[in-house]
Amino acid sequence: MGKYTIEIEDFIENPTEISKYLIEIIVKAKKKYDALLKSRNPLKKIASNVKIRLWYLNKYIDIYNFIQRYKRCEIKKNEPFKNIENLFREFEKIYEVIALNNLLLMYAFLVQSASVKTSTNREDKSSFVINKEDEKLLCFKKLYDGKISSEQFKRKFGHYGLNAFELSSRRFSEYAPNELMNLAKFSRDFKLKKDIKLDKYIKTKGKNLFAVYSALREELRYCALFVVNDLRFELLKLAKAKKIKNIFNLNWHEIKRQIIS
Amino acid sequence: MKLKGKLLVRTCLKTNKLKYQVLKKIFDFKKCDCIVTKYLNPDFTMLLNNIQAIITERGSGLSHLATVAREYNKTVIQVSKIINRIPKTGKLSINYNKEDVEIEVL
Repeated sequence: MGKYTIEIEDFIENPTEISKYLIEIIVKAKKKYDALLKSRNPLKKIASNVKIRLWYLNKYIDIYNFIQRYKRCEIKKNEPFKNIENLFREFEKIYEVIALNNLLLMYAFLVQSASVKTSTNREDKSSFVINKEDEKLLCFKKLYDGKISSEQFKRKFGHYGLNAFELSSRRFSEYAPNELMNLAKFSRDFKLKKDIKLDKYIKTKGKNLFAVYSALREELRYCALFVVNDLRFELLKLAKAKKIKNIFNLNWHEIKRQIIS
Repeated sequence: MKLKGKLLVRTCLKTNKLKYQVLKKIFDFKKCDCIVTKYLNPDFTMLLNNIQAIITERGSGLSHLATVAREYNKTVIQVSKIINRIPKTGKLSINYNKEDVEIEVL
């Protein structure tokens, strides 16, 4: 299963000290579910497998409902420290769901691989649900074609960025129109071949659960990046208010110590 | 030079002889069929409609970029320590059998 685990590096390239706190949260959530896969006791392993199988068949509904009900963390004016604490807690809450979704995505992938191997029709049936990544690429294409303005793009994907989970990375909302256009040019030939939205697909019978968990992952990423976006701006506010230099190069425990003392 | 690797995402390549580029940052991308990267950088999803394959030193078949690559019918291959063994740009051929891949730098 090694090659199907999800690497931390996939989230943050060269993390700053403050972003390492996000990695601590990610690792904690990941470990909780990894333990289910690593039991050496054969009885516990069977019990874990049954549990994962049941989750795989049912949990997508809970995850979908979590996303539907999701509301961005409230940001209080002039209280960046409290806001940051709340946002880290919020990230922890979302990451718990992402870690579960990743486990079930991995399981779904193994189920799908087995069925593709045994099926006479070897077509991969997981590539037709439109997810947030497709929407992002489509928005970039529309921006390149002049069908939407950079402001319209920013309203939908302004909280994304390059190296998106890195807190010191600028968000697309901070990009000048020409910088956005430099990125948009990569999507000029993009063609969306998918034809169904997750909201509709999730209600269909006989759905492919790999496609569902894969789309859910992108939805969760969309929510998690709102938290990263808000964290970034609250950290910048805190740095300004408390005159902290290079706040992204300090770890959260150090910043807390500085504020409290 | 021949290098061995593992297939993380299998698709049908249009041709097995590809123009490649070793890529670190998205803005350094120049038109080619295949990018060679240190790891599966999620930022590179934006390049998928420009390329046929990704060769990575590290990564998982379920990372963000690999999952999106699978949906867009792009091949992803893992080859350890490839970056320091090949020129920054050039041509390579890819041949695979089940999960084992052989890459020849032309």
